[in-house]
Amino acid sequence: VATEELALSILTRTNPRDGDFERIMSHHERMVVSTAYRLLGRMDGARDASQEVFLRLFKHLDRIHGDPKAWLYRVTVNVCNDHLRRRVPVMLPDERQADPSPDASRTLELDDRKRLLMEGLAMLSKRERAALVLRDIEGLSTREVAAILDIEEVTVRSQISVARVKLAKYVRNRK
Amino acid sequence: MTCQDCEFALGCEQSSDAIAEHLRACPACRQLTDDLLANAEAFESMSAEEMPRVPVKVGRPVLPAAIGAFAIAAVYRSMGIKTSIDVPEGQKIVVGKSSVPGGDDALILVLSVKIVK
Repeated sequence: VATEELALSILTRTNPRDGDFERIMSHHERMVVSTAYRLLGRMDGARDASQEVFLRLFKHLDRIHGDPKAWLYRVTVNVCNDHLRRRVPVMLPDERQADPSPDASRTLELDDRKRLLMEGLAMLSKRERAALVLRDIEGLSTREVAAILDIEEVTVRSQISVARVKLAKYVRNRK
Repeated sequence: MTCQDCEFALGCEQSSDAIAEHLRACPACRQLTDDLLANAEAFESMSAEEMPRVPVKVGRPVLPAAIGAFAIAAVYRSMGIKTSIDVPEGQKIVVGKSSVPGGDDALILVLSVKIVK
């Protein structure tokens, strides 16, 4: 984790809603980081992407009314797609500590499957990955995913079905 | 029903007599059913994982208060722009550009001034 300070962006605002910004960020920070991590496959990239998402939030705060969740998901997907376009995607999942559990072998099996799923996400197309992450990991409804990705619900269902089967086969072949 | 039809239906979480009949006769699709269920459990576990905080914060003291600007600062690296400028009121001035060490990014500082008193 970098420790020094960099002014990433200097934004002049006539009527800043700093309190709103901090409130939205504290409520949705985990959501944005988690989504970015699943889409990019690396935590350092996810941190950078999340910073960019919140910078955009700060810049466009006046345009956001009501629940900002869908806006944040949409921007997170777009920012992550930009990151993937700019850089060679290296989807090597970070080493994560296993959760403590009385059933160690089951925990190891679950962790192994999660690691393989993170690898498998990299094999999907960007659209399939975004749809699957929002639906199966973020727990959004098909309608919400369709609205965020600006595609038809039937397309979301199709992309998710294809992605689930691809991932199941990927994990099966790697185990 | 073909295996391809069955796979798509299972991926959509559909159930029907035709699917059940196919599953009774097809070990590969039964295996896929088990794998999809196990993956769904793993996804649920992933959704509960803790995530690190994002080093972004809103702060005011990055620029002198007289400038009247607010800034977002991210904890990252030290850098800066040092120059003398004349800024006519209401006009935007590009103060300078500073490369970010070790990367392709740059900080471009743009200022405008409004005299309030």
